[in-house]
Amino acid sequence: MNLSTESTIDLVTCHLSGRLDTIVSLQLEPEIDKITDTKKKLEFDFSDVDYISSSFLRICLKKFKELGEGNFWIKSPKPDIAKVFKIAGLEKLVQG
Amino acid sequence: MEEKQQQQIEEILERATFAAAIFNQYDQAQTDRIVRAVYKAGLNNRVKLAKMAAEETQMGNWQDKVKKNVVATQYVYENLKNQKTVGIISEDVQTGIIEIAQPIGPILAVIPVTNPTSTIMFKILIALKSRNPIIISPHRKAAKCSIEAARICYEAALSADAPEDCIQWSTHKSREETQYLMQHPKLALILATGGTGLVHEAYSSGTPALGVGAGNVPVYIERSADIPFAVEQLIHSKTFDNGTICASEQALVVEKEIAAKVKEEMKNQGAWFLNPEEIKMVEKVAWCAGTKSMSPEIVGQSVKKIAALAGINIPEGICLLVAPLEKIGEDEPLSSEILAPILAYYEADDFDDAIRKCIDLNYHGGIGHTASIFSYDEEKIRKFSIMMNAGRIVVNMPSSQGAVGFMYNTLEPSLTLGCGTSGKNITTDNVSARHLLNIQRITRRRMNERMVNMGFDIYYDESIDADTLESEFNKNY
Repeated sequence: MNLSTESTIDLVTCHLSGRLDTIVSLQLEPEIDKITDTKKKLEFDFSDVDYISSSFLRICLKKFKELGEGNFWIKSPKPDIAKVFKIAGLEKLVQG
Repeated sequence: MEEKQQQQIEEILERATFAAAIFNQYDQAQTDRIVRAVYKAGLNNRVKLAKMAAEETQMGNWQDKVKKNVVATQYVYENLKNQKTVGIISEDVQTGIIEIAQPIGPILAVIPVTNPTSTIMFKILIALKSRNPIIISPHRKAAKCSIEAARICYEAALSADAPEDCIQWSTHKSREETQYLMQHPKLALILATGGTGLVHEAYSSGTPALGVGAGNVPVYIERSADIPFAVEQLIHSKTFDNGTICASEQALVVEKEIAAKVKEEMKNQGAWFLNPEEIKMVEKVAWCAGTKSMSPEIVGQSVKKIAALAGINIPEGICLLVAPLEKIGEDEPLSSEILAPILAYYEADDFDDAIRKCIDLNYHGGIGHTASIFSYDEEKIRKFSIMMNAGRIVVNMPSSQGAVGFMYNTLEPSLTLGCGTSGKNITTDNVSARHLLNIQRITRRRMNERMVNMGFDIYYDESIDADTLESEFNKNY
């Protein structure tokens, strides 16, 4: 599975892994929506993500818009994935 | 421009930027799978798209448009398929230079009415091969077939797991909207094929552009040429798709000594030599005095239709109208580029006079594009070529097909022919995928031997002049 989650009092962390291609993204979107809590911050741990599709990029942008700056971020992407966010002009979504 | 239109353009560019970001992760094999899927879909739809284009634009004929679609898909694919365009593309141990190909980003493709579906498929293939998203801006008179071509390619690309929005198309945009799109900071490059005004706008936008210039192709049948062959090739080329290709011959120059033979051969092969009165009548329908350019009414039309419009009677079976002229320039409208089966004709006293006439024609609106010669005299071929200001000088071949490449020579197949700085373009190349890449060079330490041996102290002595420094630098080298 490409997703495991953990939750604290004010933060939900999604540990994502592998290739987040179009099909995987379509499967993950409802699950991510389900665990999104507008009262908590949301973190995508990208340290094990190898590929990201347009669909997943869109999910990230959706979460960013839903929760607002400072309440959603992507943590520890590999350099290849960090570059994707840089080219897309979405580097503000990436933290550390 | 209204806010809504502006918002639409912003969205197009945002989607294209995301597609560029995703594309950046693709390796060569994934990229090649996408290109293969798109080429196959284009080739499979060659007839449907050709018929749609002919029907919608009312220019040319569907059979020749099928050929153009084949060039734009199969031949372009065959040229691209083994090219390295992703990551490390070359490694030279001796020079210590490693080249890395990087995509450039979103490309805006401006599409002409004369070759809509073929130009679209060509530009999509070269964009995808270089991992760049592309936005198609169709000509308003060819919107339907253009969008269908883009849609077919996009579906095929997605089926091969291409990034979403790697191909987008816009409906007709006002001049203001097009300018806004062209100047957008997220746009990496404009691939502009179309009229001079539009290409100029692309170059003026501040976004890097690869444009093409107008053609006014002179063809010289030199006295050593195989006349029946030359005439056959010329007529085949000039009448192809009713003359819509910008590399098609616009004016024929022959030496007086062989003129009678050339004329006879041309008549035998379906050419009609217009008399002075008929020239004036054709001029009226073929030339727009206000814009000082060809009339859009006759672009890509058949001889029969042009004759009817002009009110001249010609026999059945004629495929080309030939206008014997004396002068070249604004006073002689038919000496300009006319994308229709109308050919200017000049007789020259000798080789030098022929070259002078070809230079005049070449510089009369066709600078940097293409020139053509039929000859077996190597010295004259070279002299002619050096005198021309043309990105391509085609020898003993039809210039429409010759300039496009692949079929009659080893030029890269392309539907975007650079015309060099004289044509206000940045290149004289046949534009292809390699022009849509940023090439990075890793350079390893290789000390310059002469520089090391010479040292630098000598340069501090003001009395030592350049000649001495040159000889010292090259000593024992």
